[in-house]
Amino acid sequence: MRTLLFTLALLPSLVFAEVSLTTEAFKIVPVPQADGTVMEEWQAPEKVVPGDKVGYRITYSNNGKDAAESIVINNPVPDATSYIANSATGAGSVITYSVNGGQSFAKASELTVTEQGKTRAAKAEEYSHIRWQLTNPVEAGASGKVEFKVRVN
Amino acid sequence: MKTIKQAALLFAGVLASTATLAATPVGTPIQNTATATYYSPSDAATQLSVSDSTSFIVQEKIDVSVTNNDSTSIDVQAGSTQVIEYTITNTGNGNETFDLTVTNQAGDVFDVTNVKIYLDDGVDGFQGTETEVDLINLDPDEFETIFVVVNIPVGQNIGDDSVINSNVTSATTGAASGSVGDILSGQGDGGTDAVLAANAGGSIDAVTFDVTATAGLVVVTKTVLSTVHPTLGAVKVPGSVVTYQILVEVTDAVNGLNIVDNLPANLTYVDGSLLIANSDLAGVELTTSNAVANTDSAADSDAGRYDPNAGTNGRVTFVMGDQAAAGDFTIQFQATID
Repeated sequence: MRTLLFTLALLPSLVFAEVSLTTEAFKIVPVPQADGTVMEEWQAPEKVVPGDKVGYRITYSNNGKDAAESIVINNPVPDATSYIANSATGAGSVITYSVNGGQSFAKASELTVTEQGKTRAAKAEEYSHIRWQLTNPVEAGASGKVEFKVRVN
Repeated sequence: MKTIKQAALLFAGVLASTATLAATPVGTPIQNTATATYYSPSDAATQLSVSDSTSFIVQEKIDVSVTNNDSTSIDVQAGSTQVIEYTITNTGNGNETFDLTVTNQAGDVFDVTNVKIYLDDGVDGFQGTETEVDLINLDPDEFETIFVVVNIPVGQNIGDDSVINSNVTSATTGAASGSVGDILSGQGDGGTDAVLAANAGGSIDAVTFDVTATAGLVVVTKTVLSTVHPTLGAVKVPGSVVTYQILVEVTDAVNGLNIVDNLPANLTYVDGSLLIANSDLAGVELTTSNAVANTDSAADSDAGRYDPNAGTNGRVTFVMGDQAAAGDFTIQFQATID
């Protein structure tokens, strides 16, 4: 009995790499600056109406004690929103997209849609999923973030 | 119950994203969940991590589009009736009521008269039997056609112009005086906040009427004064009585004047309903106290008569004869909807 308890207490430390994800939504508000330019501010997602831009930030952190390799983050474009072209960012990652519900992924320039027998380049609003493949392992205790923007339909 | 409701909302969201024009309905929750896979070398396994889902609720956007289906500059004849057709579309994402108003612009040469707004009844074009409206309720993406009908006064000269402004304004409290981006707290559908979009606080379409011809010798304007059912009130159903008025404006001496009106199909003339007044009483119901009753017979000395066999569905005629000088007449008769 005593041995069993001891083993159980050890269990958490058996997790060598543990990546956790958090996602946050922001309403993107253009704010005119003193110099005449307009900066986008990411604010709390209140009073969002159709046509508004919404930014998503996904933060990953490795809470384990060893590095995590080959991290792939997947995010379906939320229902009732459209992905904004070129808005996905993520340091040290290869970003690909899906137009078929996540079955296959490709770079934006290589994505096509077949319509009435003809193939054309996919539009950003047709993307169903976004994928970030991190090129380097994430060390224990390290964290990072990826972001993308959508427009509420 | 909650699950079914959420499923329905999600389904609506999917539909909205495929039809890109439809605005996401007010109250829709927008959720996001990210997942990650990674390889943990030290335990030689691929792991999955799922984020908590974030969610926010779509608020009501108040927006409207007004399309002038005719022209914003119209050449007119003095004494004519002008009809402008508008399509009004609720481009917001909630059910919304809009106030409709038409105003004469200050500073132009003249004001149009007898300004009225009618709701299209689905029959092509304006007949004059449509229902008068001053507000309109539309679901998201729903549209309606309205007619703005005005009279150009008989006395206007060539070169005179008049500008009217048609306004469509959200009836939500605070919308009329608000500006783009204003948030009307709690005024959205289902207790959400309402956000004013580009055209919410009043969409204005200005139309200019340029008088390019003076009035003819005789200007005839026909209107529907009222449509009343004996028991159901002001509705257009079989049995309702339609009261027609014809304003006759004689602008100069004219001989052998006959006013002829063929009844449209699906109406039955109300026997003995002819009335005539020797003045402009347009819009005022004629009775024997402000007008003179005429018999339906052509055999007597009065001007009015009704011939059930003329035209396709009967004909009202007023034989006015020679008019030595300018003057106005108002004629009234009634017909029952079959």
